[in-house]
Amino acid sequence: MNFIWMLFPTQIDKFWDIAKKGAVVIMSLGRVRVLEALWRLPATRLSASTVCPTVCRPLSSAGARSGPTSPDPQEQAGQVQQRPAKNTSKAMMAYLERATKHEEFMRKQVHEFEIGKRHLANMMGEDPEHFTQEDVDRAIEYLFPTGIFDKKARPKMRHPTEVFPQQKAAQFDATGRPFHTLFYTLKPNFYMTLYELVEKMNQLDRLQAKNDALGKLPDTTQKLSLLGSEWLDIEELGKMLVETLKEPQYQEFVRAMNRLVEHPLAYHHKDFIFKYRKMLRVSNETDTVPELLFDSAGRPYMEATGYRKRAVARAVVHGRGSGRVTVNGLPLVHYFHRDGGRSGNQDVAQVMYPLQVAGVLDSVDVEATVQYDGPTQRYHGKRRRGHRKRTSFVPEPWKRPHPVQAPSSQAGAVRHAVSLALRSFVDKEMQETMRLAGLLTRDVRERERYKPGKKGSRKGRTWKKR
Amino acid sequence: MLPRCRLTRLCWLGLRPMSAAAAPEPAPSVFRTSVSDPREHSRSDLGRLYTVDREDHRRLFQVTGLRKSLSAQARTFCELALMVRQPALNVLDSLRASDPSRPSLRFLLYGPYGGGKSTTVAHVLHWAAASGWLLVHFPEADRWGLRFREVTASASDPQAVDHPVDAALWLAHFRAQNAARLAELDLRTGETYTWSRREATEAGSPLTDLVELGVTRGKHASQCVLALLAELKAHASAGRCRLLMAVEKVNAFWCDSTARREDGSTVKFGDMTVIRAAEQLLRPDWSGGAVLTTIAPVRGGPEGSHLPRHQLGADGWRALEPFVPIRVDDMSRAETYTMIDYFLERRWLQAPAAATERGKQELFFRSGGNPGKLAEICSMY
Repeated sequence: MNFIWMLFPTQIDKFWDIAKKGAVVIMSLGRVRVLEALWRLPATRLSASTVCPTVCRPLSSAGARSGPTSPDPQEQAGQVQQRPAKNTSKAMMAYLERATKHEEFMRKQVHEFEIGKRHLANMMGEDPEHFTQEDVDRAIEYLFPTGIFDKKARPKMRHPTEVFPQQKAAQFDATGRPFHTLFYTLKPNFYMTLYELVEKMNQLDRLQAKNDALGKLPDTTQKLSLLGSEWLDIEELGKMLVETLKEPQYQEFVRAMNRLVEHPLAYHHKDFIFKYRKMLRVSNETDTVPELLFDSAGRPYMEATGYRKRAVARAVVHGRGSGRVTVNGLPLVHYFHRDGGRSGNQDVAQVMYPLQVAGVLDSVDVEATVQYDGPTQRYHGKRRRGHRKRTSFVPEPWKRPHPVQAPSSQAGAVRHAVSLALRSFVDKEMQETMRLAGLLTRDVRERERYKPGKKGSRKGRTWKKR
Repeated sequence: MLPRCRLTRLCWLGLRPMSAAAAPEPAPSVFRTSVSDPREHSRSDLGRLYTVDREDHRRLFQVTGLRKSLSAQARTFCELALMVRQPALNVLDSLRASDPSRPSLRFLLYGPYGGGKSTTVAHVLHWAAASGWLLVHFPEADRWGLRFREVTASASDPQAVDHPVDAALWLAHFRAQNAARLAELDLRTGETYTWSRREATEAGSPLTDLVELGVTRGKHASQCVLALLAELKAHASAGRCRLLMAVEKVNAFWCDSTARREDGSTVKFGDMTVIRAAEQLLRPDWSGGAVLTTIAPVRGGPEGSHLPRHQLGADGWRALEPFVPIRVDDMSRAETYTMIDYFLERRWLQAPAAATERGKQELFFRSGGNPGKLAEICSMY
């Protein structure tokens, strides 16, 4: 028998010639096209080699055309050639033991979870039969109130499959024969997926050929829309298949899936495609943009609250305006009169940003009230003797009529409030533009705490060599 | 006692109450007015810029008198362009209509910082000079007590304080503004002033002698100012001249200065000879002229509201009341666009976006219509 080690799909022609002569082919791992070629071979050409165990399991004549099927030992036991029982090595025994133990463990956990759920339902006075996971969460939150900030650290009660990482069950039987056809690829589930993908591609090609012959066109109304979803990323896919994937493998997968999706008849396999797609999280806020209110004069207006650090701002935006913005009763420029210096009064620019993006600089009026609700701001910069700040429009501190506490957080809060209120005035497209501009997101950055041994949150004490 | 109601007070002082209606604002593209004589400015020139004649500019503001930012802008643009705004026209209307035989009107300009109070004063000074009035102009009253060059104890009154250098400089400024008119009017001193055993200015000598003496002899400069203003007050009351006194940051007069006497006591503004000289004209006991004052935040002054009562304090209020309060507010949208057009024409604003409607909207928003803020923003990019 001749053995050929196939490394590159470009050698497929050579492979055909020699395979026809009755050779056994040891396929290279990981090439979809080689697999493809392999399954086109008539089954009789492949014989179970007793020489090398890395050969694929031979196909039965019945299942030849359809290619490898999901492993089902009971089904194929009769069809497969009987192999002599081998002594299973210690490693194999240990592996089998681990796998069965895990299965046992999981079964026990699931059982305990179900019992626990029923107990919990009884405790809460609810019907154990119709106790959903949401009810469980609510019950746990009630019974174990916690102030822990990190949501992941809070007590929770979930199904064991969510809690414990999935492990594969025993992959081979006591004789050492693997259950999965593609076991020796080391990532059987992944390559199974790829195989199915190729199968579907071929099926669609055949369907298209048939349709072309009949003069039928693909149904455009059912065209797949991938908007609002994206492929599972490498970790998620790995979790789903219970296999660790490498980057090149994942890229291969995405490329192949994209090719499938591009097929005009891809909608036939919508379920398969969407099994590997995750829906993008739709923000709650864009769904619930409030309708405009109208005051007694018939003028449209909207109120909103915005936050930034410890500042809270409440903005009322009136339509049919002329671009007047007042903050706490003062005109914007006079309220945020911090010495701009080079920044050119960043606070006013921050409040201007949403109005600028929405293009309503001269058509709305804004009345905002803002309050800083945090510790007194102290000067943290370095004071230098004789250093004079660049003179600017704003008079010196002793000339200022009132100190504005933490102006940048107040400006940020006003900006957030104005942005949220402006949503009601603009169309969906502009709302999306504002969202992409970052105007609707509450900036969660807060001041980092001081740590002992440091000067502040990060700055260390003076380091002396000796 | 003057009536407390403003309307009645105005009537008592011989003025018609002014209507609040403003003229329709001109189209933004026509931002200049060709009328450069302030005597001919009217409501049709509102919101437009007029160019101050070079000679007038040199005469009135050569030594001092304009805000640093405005004089720098005039230097850069090779011209001094002032916007004709409602507050200035209000003052001019009142001055034109005022009766020289009645007690002098006192105006107080107030408003947000950078709003155009000093520029209004400059406009009114230009009008007064063109109309033949004599000008007594104190550009920054707080400088006498805060950023003075030198103070000395006064010879006549040990508690009083003189400014040898600053008073001499001020007299030079007075001379530049009024030389021609003084020569025309040929006003004479009414009494003899003895400066020392050897020096004296006889009664009947021209006022220019007083000025010259003060400019050359710093030691007597403050006393010269005192004498000069007393003489001018008398001449104006006698109807021989019309006199406009303009004091900017007048609220400083009732504050503490940073000067200290040898014993460590604080010198108040009211102890300074030059300030006392100006205070003579602040009193309502003279006629034939007007007083134009401005209030602005000063160091050592009260913090808080920018409104006159708070900034003047009880003493200042008592001294200045009754006055005509005139609010100088931030510019309207049209006026701001005019200013932007001017900057574009002068090639000061170079970005193409500044000429677009959107760009102008942004500049108006960022500055809030405040002229000082607009100038600052436009100078940054």
